[in-house]
Amino acid sequence: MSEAIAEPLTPEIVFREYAPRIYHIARRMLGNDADAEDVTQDVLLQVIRKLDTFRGDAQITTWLHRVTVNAALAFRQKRANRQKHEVHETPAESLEIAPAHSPVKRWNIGPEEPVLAAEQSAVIGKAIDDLPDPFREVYVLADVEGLPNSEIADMLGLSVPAVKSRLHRARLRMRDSLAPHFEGGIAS
Amino acid sequence: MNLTCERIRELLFDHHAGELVVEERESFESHLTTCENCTYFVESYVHTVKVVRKLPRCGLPADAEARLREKLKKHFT
Repeated sequence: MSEAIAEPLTPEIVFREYAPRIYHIARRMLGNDADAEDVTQDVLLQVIRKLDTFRGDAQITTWLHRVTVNAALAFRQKRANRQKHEVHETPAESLEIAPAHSPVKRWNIGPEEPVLAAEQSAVIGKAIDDLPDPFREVYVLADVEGLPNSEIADMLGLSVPAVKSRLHRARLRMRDSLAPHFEGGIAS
Repeated sequence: MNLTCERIRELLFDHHAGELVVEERESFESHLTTCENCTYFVESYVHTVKVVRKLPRCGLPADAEARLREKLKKHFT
């Protein structure tokens, strides 16, 4: 995303500059393409309707992040309601993790490369998609988007300790999911 | 303070964040000098965090872009 937009914001500029960013966050949070597209449409409409109120890129970027997260959460809630899954949702503190006494193989971690190979990206992307919703939301915002725990807590209406707990468990699950691949040698 | 392997996993998040108090951090690191299993586990946890940060952005697929442009058409004219 550009640091500053000198020209006045128009719907075309908004689309070009922000649609990929909105889609990325929604796709990672929701775990599938079709839902991400719906959320991107919803957020773009919200931005375009408020174009007159934005005065700079920094302001719109911060606002967009929050609006996209809220739209993704609302979308997921609507989907759960439609499917009558409100009570079927994974309990927020429950996530199966390999027990501490399981034997651990050393990962094949080679010299650090600045860019991931396509195969690695696919494996990691799939592991994120497979996280249960409440864990994936926290995980994406923290470890993919790099937001501070306090900001995530604020966005998701959680306490900071709850964010840390979910993030830790999500990382443990991600480690378990990636282990067969890194033990086997796709590591960079 | 002797830590169990289970406790090491509980403390791993705070250790990675540099938020353990000195005594806990020393016990954590002392455990690793004698436990290969936990050493490998900690290495892989740290690598998991590191490698995910390099994940490229999900690109907006061309067909999705075309559909979005079509749906938002009236706002572009």
